Amino acid sequence: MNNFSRRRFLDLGTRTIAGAGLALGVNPALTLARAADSATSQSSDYRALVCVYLEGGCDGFSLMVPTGSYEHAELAQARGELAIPQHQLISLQGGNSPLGLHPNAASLQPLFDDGHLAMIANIGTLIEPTTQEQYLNNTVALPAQLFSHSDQSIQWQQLQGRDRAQEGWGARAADYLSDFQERDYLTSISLAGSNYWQSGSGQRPFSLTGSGVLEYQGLDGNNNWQSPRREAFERVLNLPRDHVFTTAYADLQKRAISITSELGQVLESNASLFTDQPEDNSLAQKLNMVAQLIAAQEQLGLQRQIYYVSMSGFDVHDNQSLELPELFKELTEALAFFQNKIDMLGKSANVTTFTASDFGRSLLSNGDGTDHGWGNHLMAMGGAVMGGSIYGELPSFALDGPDSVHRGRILPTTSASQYASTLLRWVGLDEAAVSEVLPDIGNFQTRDLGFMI
Amino acid sequence: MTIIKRTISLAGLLCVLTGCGGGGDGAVALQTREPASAPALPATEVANAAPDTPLSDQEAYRLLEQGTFGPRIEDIQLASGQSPESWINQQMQLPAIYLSDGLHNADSERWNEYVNVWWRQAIQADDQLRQRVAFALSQILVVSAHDGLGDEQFGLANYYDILLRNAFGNYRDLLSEVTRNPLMGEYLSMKGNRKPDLAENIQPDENYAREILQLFSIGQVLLNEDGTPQTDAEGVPLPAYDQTTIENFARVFTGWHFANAEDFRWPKNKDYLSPMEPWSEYHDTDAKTLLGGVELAAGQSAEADLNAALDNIFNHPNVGPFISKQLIQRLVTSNPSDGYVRDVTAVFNQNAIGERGSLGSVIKAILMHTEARQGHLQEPDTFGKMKEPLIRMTQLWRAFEPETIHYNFNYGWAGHELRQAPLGSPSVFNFFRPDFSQPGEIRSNGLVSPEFEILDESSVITITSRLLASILWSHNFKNDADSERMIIDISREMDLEPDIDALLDHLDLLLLGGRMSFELRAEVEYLMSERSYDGAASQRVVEAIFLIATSPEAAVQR
Repeated sequence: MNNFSRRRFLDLGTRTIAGAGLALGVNPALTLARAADSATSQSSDYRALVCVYLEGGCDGFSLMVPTGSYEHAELAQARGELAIPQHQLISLQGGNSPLGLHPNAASLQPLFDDGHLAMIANIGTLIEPTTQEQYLNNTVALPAQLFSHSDQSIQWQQLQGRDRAQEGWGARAADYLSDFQERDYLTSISLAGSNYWQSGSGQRPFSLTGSGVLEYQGLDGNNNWQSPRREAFERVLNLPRDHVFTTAYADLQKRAISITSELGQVLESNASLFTDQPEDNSLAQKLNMVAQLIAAQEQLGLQRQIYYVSMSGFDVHDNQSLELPELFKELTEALAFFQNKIDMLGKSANVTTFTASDFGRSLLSNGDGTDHGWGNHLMAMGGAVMGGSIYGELPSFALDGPDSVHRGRILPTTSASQYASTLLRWVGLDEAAVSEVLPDIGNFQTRDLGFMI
Repeated sequence: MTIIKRTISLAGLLCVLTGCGGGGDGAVALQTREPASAPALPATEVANAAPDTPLSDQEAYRLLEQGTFGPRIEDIQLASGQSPESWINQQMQLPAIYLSDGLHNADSERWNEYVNVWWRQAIQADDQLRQRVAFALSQILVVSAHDGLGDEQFGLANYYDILLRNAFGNYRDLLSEVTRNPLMGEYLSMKGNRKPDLAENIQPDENYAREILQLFSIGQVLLNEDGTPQTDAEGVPLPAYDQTTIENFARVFTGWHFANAEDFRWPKNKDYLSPMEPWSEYHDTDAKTLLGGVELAAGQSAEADLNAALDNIFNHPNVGPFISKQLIQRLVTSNPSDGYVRDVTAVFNQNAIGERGSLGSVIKAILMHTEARQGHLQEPDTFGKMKEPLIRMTQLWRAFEPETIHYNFNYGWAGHELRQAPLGSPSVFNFFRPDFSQPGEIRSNGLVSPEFEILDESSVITITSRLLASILWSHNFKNDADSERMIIDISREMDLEPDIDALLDHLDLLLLGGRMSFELRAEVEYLMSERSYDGAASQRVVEAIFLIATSPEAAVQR
């Protein structure tokens, strides 16, 4: 696609509050306040999406739990000894569907109450709307290899129906976004190395670590002793070569050299503001680096970005009651820390963070853990999020109910494509671009779940 | 546990004494154990084998790059003039060097000491082909020190020993040992897995059931013998199993726990070394339906169910292409032709004496096939693979092998810099996936490049820096030797240094198998000339080694 036609797809205007009524329970006063707030505090036109990917299949049904007596009892019965007692849940105000947070997710409560955090219920990899009957009779298109980590994480990150086109939806979106900034190679940034979400045929993501960009040792071009070595090293990278692997390796090494030196200087200039990350929280460390990069957005001339950060350990087949609380603590403290940082930078309305994961867990316990499910509760966070509500549709948690397949694997009621579409519209893609990026979106009635301003 | 011998012993024991570095200060000798029985040479007749003729230096280098942790000059000299089969036979008859034995002789109190023992053995062990194959297997049958198993160093070493012991054995035996291993039992939560409890809404754990099918044996879709997927009329791959199959296998894998467990739910005793033992009261004895509709009758013991299920998996036609192709990718090339995979699969399915699943025969077939021996001539622009970061390091350290590796040597944090460490994968999906394709020219050509998945703008820097530090700052002509470092030995290169052409010819063979381009050679000469003052001979040598070893050409095995 040439630049001219891609430009056409960008919609840089402020969006109206479309589809807000889809929330299960929206606090109208809060909504209006958020909209007004956002309109005035939009410090610039910069917008960034931050994907926090939870590797292994995060148990969203334990993170956000219905507190209504009937709903809680239904879920508790399925979950057996893994159920979280009603009195331990942190009750959330707002919305007309009573919901509680896992006791170790207390950091999220103020975010939700202030309207900076929205819960989106029971999302999953659907290609088209799917009922239990259609699933059982195989009469709709279904993602290949449901319940497999590798396939479902790729499915989530590509959203290409049954095709493995080897393009992530993040990469396809970045193709639209990269024209609007001088350093198009910084449109996609990863703090988790290679990933399928940002991988496509266009601009590649730039990878760095939670400690920032790394220095080559012993190759300082400004050092008299080392500079001949550095120059020789760079000349070797530029030699003619004809093997696809050696060429690709040389390309990567050249990219690393050129981008890291530039970025390293920028990060050094604002490093002092980012020294307060929580101890022993590697997700917070990575998100702190994202905040540091976002702080340098104007300096780098960036208008639109997508970030990928991941956290692992969520495949709790064993020891769920010991491990999951620890994971939730790290996750939610990191999210709260990050949002606080973004607020302090005055970029609250410019940055939207969202979670994604391979799948939710099955409801049934296997004795001390859970197996692979399908639908999952997720979250969106930021100043442009119409928070304080839960969106989508809460499923029935009855083991033999209408939303359960294979006893306790919950059929998604909302598609990952609809979730992605809502986020992409906010970041600036118009309808045509969204349709290009998300080929399955046309199979669903609603393209906007309403949780973004 | 008795393992049914499927191989027929053909040869008497070939006694080989291993050369263990002399007993200098802090030196540690490698131990060998007498094999329980004489290693039988696997019978191999692979279709389209390369002519089994004497190897040139460069051909020997290629075989050593595929079948060892890195060619040394002595190895090239020894292998050239031999035929590929003769070199392989010699390797296969060497007694195994085990990781557990090494760990017993090391400072096992140190964090990640098993990684240091692994380095030591990858560099010094004589049974290089076995060590390299075991490492390949450790990336298919994945157990990881992550997820809280890092403290079980002897358990990890013991698991790795299974891979070493069975590297040329039978895949069915390997599956059996891996399945019963308590560390695997913990890693994929089969240990303590119990029969359904309807009253409590508890169903068996599906973790091991899923991954043994998806990753350790047959993969997710039905395969042709050449490794390509079987598809329906619309071109959609046919699944090899479904969720119901997984649930049936999950019930098979119930009722196993630590050999010394005194209680099934909350045992205090934890034996991470002995194979797990069955508990009949926790085993699901209902009937089960396995792959291909095979029925397991109700009322069988945990042991009988397990053996029948492993037989069922092992005899599935996918195992040959699924495992063979991954072994080819680990040892030889990322993109084997369909014909290459088909020829190796045929050997997996039935070797020359009618055995199915002989890994020894498969490894031989992989290395003796025309494509392994001549692929670089047939497909000069695409044949080969990105080297794994660990193997880039072992190649360097073997090329300039220190006379001794000090007892204090410590590079246990390798994973942080290299994104790869033995038994240190981030998940059961290994460090990288077999079908990862680097965006750009590789992807647009329809090729895959698994090792590129862990190579990004951060890791390429840490790998380069590690190579630089290991060459420029850690050699035996530098005066500040640190006993925790691997100190490379450049004595031979120092002898050659006065004759720059001789030195570069030598480094060309040792580091690039004779593939150095004229342009790269000119750059190396120029950099050496920049250090032309007196007394800088060692500096010139290490600058030359650095520039070659960090070049894109040295990063790729061809």
